[in-house]
Amino acid sequence: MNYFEIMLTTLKIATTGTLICFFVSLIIILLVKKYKKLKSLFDFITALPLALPPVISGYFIIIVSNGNLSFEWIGGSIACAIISLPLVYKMISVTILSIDQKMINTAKILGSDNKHTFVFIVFPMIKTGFFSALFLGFIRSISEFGATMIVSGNISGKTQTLSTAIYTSIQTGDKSSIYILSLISILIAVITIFIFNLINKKNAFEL
Amino acid sequence: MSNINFNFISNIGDFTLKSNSNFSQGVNFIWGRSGNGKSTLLNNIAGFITPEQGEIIINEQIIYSSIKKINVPPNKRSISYVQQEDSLFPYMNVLDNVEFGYKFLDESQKKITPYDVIDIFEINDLLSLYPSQLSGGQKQKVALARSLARNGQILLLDEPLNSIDFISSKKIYKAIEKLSEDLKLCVLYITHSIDEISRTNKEILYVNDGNANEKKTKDTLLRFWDDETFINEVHDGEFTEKSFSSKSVMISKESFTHNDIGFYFSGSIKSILKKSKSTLIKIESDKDYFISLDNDIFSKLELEVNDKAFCFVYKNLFL
Repeated sequence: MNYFEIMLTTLKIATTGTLICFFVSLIIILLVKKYKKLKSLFDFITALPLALPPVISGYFIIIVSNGNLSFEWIGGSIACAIISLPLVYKMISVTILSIDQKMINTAKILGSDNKHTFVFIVFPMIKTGFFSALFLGFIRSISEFGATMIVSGNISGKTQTLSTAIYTSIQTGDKSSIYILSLISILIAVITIFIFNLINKKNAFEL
Repeated sequence: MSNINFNFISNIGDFTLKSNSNFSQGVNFIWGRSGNGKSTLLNNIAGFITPEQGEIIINEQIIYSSIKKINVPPNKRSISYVQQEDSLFPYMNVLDNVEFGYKFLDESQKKITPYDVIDIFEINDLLSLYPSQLSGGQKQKVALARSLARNGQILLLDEPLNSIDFISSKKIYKAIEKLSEDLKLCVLYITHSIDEISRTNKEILYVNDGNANEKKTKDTLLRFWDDETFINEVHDGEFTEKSFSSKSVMISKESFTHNDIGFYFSGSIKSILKKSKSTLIKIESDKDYFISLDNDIFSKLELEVNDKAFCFVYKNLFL
């Protein structure tokens, strides 16, 4: 078993899935901000993956893509994106709602144009929330199993992730692989959470 | 010389503000009770709210006109504005906050530098601190400094000295007055405090129930004063035969001393204005002071015109 390749595939699928999820959430939130009547509908749709079994979400992707995403790593990323959507959407939504219009007005009356206002005022207000959304999406994607398994399968060297590789090792009774793959998973989780806490701590100190 | 003319109608939900007035160089007070449209007026001038119709002109330059379809964005209006609530940028230290508006100015617009205002408001020791590390009064000083360092053509102040202690507020008010003279600046100063407007000899814009088009003299305005708007909590204190003491004010017919932080004065009573629930007393000292007392307290003190009165006002109730 090529552990390094499995780790790389996992990181590729999780990172791509997180970015897709992040930008889809952002687009939905901007739409909701413009068309406020859509809010209840989108709040409902984005919460669904949290309540449904991941295999149903996975099967839904296969149906909608007409099977084109089956056994492709990008299919696994889209599965990760859909499973992470409730967390990421909520986090970005709360962050954008918390933008203080008074600060933006103050910056503008002090002579700041839109570009400077975004860089100096809005970005510092949203950066922690946006980083948190990205990390939450990534952590959820790394541990994703059900939907990914259904969509992209478990093809060694192509779509096999840490979770699906551990599943295979359990099926075959390969204990050493189970321990090594679990250790890699734990290491990635620990490093990710450590960086997440470090950034949050730094921002909390600045405030 | 800095001046502003405006004549506009603005709607926010069910509330309508009708304003028509003009101001020239110096400190110009805008007075009215809370919720009558004072801050809405300044927010329209600043461009945070767009009026339904009308015109706003600063130094002969139209910044808003519904007929000519002109609406200059807030960042191009060249206005210095200190809002009522704390609006310091939390991610910047004091120096970065004060310098924020200055860096957007052309050389020709720079009359006063951030370090000039830092000296005026005595905030040199705070420059490396963040807003969360400042007290309410310090925040207010930094907000004032930042706003003045922006070098606007007019200065809008929305109850700027609310969180500042008595001694500092007196100093800061004098600094604002001096800056308005030195920089030939038109200052629009919102207050709902009778004490503050008693300092001016200029006419005061009276804002009432969404109407901001009537200027009144200080004395005329006092007739519009109502029971609850002056010194609060005067009914909470202890009363003895010759003196009255509350959380806000002590008044006595006899001389006394007091160790608390505040302002002590004495003078003779020049006039007494009785209203339904309370009585306004005008005391002539180094200048005119006004004290409001509940009617039952006033009657117990047996004060009369030309009597000598000794007063102590706590903290920043007087400027």
